[in-house]
Amino acid sequence: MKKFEKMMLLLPLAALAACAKTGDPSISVYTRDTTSGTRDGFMTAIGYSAAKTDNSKLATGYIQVASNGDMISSIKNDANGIGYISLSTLATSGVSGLSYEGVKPSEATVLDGTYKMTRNFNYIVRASYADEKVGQIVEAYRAFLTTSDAKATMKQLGGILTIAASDPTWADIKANYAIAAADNKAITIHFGGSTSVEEMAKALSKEFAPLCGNFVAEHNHTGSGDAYKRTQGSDKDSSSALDIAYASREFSSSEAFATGTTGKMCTDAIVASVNANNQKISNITAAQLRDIYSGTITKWSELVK
Amino acid sequence: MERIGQVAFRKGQKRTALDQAASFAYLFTAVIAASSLVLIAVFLLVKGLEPFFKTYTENGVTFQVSFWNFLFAMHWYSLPKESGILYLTINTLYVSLLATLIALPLSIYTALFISKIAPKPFGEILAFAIELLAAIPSVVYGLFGREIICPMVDALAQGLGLMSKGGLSSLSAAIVLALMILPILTSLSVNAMKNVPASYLSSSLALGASRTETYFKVIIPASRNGIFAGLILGLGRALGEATAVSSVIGNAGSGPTFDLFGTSATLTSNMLLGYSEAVGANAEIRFSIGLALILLIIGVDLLLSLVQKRMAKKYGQD
Repeated sequence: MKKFEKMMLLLPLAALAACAKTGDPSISVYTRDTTSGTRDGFMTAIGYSAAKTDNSKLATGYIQVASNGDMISSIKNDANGIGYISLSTLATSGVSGLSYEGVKPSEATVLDGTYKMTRNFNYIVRASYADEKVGQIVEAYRAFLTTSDAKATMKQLGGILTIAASDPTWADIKANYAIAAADNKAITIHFGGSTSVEEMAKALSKEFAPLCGNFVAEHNHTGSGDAYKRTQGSDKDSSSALDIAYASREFSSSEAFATGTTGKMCTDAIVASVNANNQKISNITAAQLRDIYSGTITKWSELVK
Repeated sequence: MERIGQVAFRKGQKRTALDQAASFAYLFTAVIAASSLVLIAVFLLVKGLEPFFKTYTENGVTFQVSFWNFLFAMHWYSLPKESGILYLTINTLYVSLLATLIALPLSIYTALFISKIAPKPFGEILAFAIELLAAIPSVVYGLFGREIICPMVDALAQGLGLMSKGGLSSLSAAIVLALMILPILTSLSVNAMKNVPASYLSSSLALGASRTETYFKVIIPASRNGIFAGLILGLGRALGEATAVSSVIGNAGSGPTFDLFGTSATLTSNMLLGYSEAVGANAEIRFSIGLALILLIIGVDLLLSLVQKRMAKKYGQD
């Protein structure tokens, strides 16, 4: 027992000896976990798709955070941290958002196309429906998404888009959709896909259901990966099948969707962010971010030179 | 049939129909309670082993999960890339051990104070306050750790001239866990110390031992069993805690980490990370980690009871 006690005493000493020393501070690399759509968008934008779902491609000592909020509070606490967050949360976050390739992130620069680190919120619908009425409601919903009513809702929830004066209101076009005038209380429309779009999707359903015969909107969001799979892919006829599904990224080449079944809703921008006290840099390039996330650059001094 | 619970029945006293119905109800609830354990065990075993016998096809890649890699890999790259739990297991044990090292002396001294030194009403207030610690939900400990402990650990690291990632570290996790197991350890130690016969204390004092000598050489050894019971329960909680640990540990993707100020990851934090959005193999493998965690906890508990038995043999039963 004496030996055991001595070993216990040695443990903290060994722990102290294993600590890393400061000096020229290393960059702490923060990333979302592999299931995140934001991570997908970020890695795609900086041209490092290999690391979208593969942690082995990341710099040693990377730190995984569980959500956008977790990312913000981590960067806030770590003077040497770098990470990426959604533009819609930047203003209130208290972290410092970096310009990307010399362009400051803002709604205006996203809309004029100069700020490049963006991802689109897209949707996909089924190619065929067992119930014709479901198909008609889906068509009406797609038309609704182009109206100024729906666009205002998306904008309110952080989506970046322009509402043009020429955009119709739902009142202008509802006559084209006979199904909207019918009583649809008995019809359930299944929504799902991306969790990043979930809040927006639910708001849109809540707004549209009363306009379209009070159909029942059922939401089951499990990630962008299921958007194609459950509408037109392997699960399209399973119990988890969906009528309308969202993706917070572009559909990939392996997701062979039927023509005319997808659409873009709005844009979300991702911002590379550092601690508010970090005055070392205010701009970053795709190449630098690639080097940081792959571990080629590990010190802040290498970025500043 | 010499059960204590049945002594109350006088011999020859007839059981009414109500009694019989009631005992049937007791049996029923007992079976449900016990069978839920069996259900959980079977469920975990089946779900935990399933991923190793399945072939997954995800994003155009067909793969199988290697049992060998799962047990021995020192990184978690997310399936189908090589992902294993060895570093997570080592980190889990290390962080829990650190937590116990912090909590054990604290709770033994506190228990000594409450049971032997403090005036009775004051001791009771203290004991109540410490028991209340156990009622705080783990997510609150997580928030507290993130907002209070992490910055303190970060400041400590900077004071020592060391690197820390905003305080997300093994040490922060250990401190939060120590706070969480403190109430269990303390209350069981208090109980044990209160049950040490007063004659032990007076005999020791009569033999000329000072109070401090008596506390450390008589009271603490005599309460060994209670302290050990607290240790077993506390370690079990520390090993299995997820929410609070995930908030402060940094979820490192490889390891093991022995650096006090370095980010780490445990079995539980890895199970929780991305759980809400994981699909397919990356969702199902979490059951396997859960199975490994339960086996680890059972293993540690068995080891501790073995140590306890050996100590009892060596020093004699109280």
